[in-house]
Amino acid sequence: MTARRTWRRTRLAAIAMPIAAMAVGCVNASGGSDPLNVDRHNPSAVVQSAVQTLFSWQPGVDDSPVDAFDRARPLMSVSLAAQELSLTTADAGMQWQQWASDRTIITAEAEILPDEHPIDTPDTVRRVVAVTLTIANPAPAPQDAIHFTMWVTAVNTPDGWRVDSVQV
Amino acid sequence: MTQRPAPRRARPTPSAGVARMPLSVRRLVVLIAAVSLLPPTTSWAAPPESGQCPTRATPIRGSWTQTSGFGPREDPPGFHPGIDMADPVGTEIDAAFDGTVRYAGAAQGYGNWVVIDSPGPQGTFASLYGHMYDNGLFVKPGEQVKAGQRIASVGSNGFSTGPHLHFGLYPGGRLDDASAVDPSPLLNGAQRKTDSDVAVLVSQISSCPTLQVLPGTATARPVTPPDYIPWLQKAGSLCPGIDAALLAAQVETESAFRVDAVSPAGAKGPAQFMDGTWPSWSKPDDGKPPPPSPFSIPNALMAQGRFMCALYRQATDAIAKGTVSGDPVGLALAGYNAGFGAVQKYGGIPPYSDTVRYVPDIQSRRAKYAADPQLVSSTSSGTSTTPNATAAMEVPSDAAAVDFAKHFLGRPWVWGGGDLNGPTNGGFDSSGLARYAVFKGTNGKLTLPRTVANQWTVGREIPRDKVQAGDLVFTGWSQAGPAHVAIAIDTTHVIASSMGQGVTISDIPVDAKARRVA
Repeated sequence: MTARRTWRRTRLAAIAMPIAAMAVGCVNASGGSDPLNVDRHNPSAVVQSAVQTLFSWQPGVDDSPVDAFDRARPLMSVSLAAQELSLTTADAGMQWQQWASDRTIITAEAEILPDEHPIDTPDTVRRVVAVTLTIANPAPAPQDAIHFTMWVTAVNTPDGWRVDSVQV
Repeated sequence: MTQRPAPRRARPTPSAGVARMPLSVRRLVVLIAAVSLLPPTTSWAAPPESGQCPTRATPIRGSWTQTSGFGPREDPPGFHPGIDMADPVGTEIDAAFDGTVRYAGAAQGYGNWVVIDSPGPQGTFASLYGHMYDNGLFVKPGEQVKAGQRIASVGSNGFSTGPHLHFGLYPGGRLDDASAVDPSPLLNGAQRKTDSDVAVLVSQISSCPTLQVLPGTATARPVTPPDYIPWLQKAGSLCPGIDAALLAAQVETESAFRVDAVSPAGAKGPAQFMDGTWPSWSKPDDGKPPPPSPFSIPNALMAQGRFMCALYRQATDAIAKGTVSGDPVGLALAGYNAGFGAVQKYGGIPPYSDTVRYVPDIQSRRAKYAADPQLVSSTSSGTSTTPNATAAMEVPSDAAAVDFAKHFLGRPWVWGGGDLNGPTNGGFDSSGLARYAVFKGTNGKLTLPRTVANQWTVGREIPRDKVQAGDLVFTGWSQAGPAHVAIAIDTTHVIASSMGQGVTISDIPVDAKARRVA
């Protein structure tokens, strides 16, 4: 890792999206940061953008979460991006269909934590990521945010850093 | 309120196989697919034919220590196709299943082994017992054995660093690593792992009515499955009237404590929620990514508790108004089974055949759980059946967490390792160990966040010279926060899982800051 890397605790709430766009790339219609505009020399930015793209969903516009997976493919390593996910709208199930009919938008925020991780190498960087899904739902819902933790590995490729594996 | 159609009596069915993919990707797929639960057309198959179900005991009757788990490991490097159960040389090893001895004798790496073929619901499967000395084999090839029959004695023969039983399980009977599955769910209580072949095997075997999932400890089979106890206690303290013993009896009736249970009507998990009802009462109580799975003990039990408390309040209100009559607990149970609308329609327990059996069935089962000291002991401070909200918030400030952490001394540091049930992938990271130990040490009353950074937000900071056993000690500070957490075992020492060292005891570092979370 280079010395200029700093720990970033950017919280990318919807209100902060313009700042987020400056930090890790543009924001697309689905709420995730644009994976094509990320600084690929910055592994933390790649990890953050990939996770946010993966979990920012627009049911009703997206057929299923696979659409988000497709959007995140440019930030994935060859082996991860090559995975074929087959999940149809019908497969995505009741929750997805309910979200679609409610025009719910799910926006993911990814915060890279200072938590311990294996030592960085020129080829591999691992980070603990706190993910918050904000569920913008016009109807009263039992919960409006979901929090979980991910352990993400990024690898350095000729095209810059890419996410290689994700654990939850 | 959404109502649940009757009947929903559990009839578990096994899941179909999951395509083989790298674990991380498979977990990612599961996570993404979890927005809906996997589609029923591909997830569930018909139950096994009767008469093909194994009877089972544990391979070691007494207590044992798991020294190496199933799966990839670093020391020694490679894939470990079973679990290591450490016990003194000579400890009795029993057949875990009825079956026929295929091998009993020398085997490379194992010193000696015994392999038993058993008929299972999906065909033959093999159980493997390894590392015995020559004088520790008590069966011969071709011999019929019964579950619980002594077959060998623990040794340290072959590739072994200390006395232990290597116990492996092979569906289909092929003794290669690719066929091996993790037997620990059978020993420690079934844990649903939706992304693994383990779930397939466990669900196949656990679909059999003759199979009992027994604990791997020396005590007699407990009334309440240990994995359920903390969550029954937590869910049983949400409101007056609905206690842990009642919820336990209800889970037994609903699912027989089977995590994977799915009824023909589609009711899922230990508490048998229908898809339409589940979102109203579920939260991710297990700390896992969204949406909460009904096949998770924490999620299912807490949702069950919330739903039952709401029904209990509806019942007491309706009784007060004179619109229904009867016992509010019985009416709440009837509401869980048939919907509270049906209770109101009939002014009491509705005359549905399923419901009129369901209510007394649970009420009669409740007594044995109310008498289970493991279940009621830590909830019996003051009023055992109706703990008030204040009592439920109180957390013991002693150092019980330390004891739970010490149990894993020597375990490797594994990045992202550890959950509320213990180590995962063979170990813990520092926050994984702290979260597990505090959860266990507080009888499930306190669940810390999963990460070091977020654990720093719990409780209150205390001066370093005031540290006492059980406090959390944070180090590795940067501007963004701490990188590492340990548990104080006294005023000067901590226990933690640390990179390169595993779970060890050390001095409190100079840059430490401490918090009291209990």
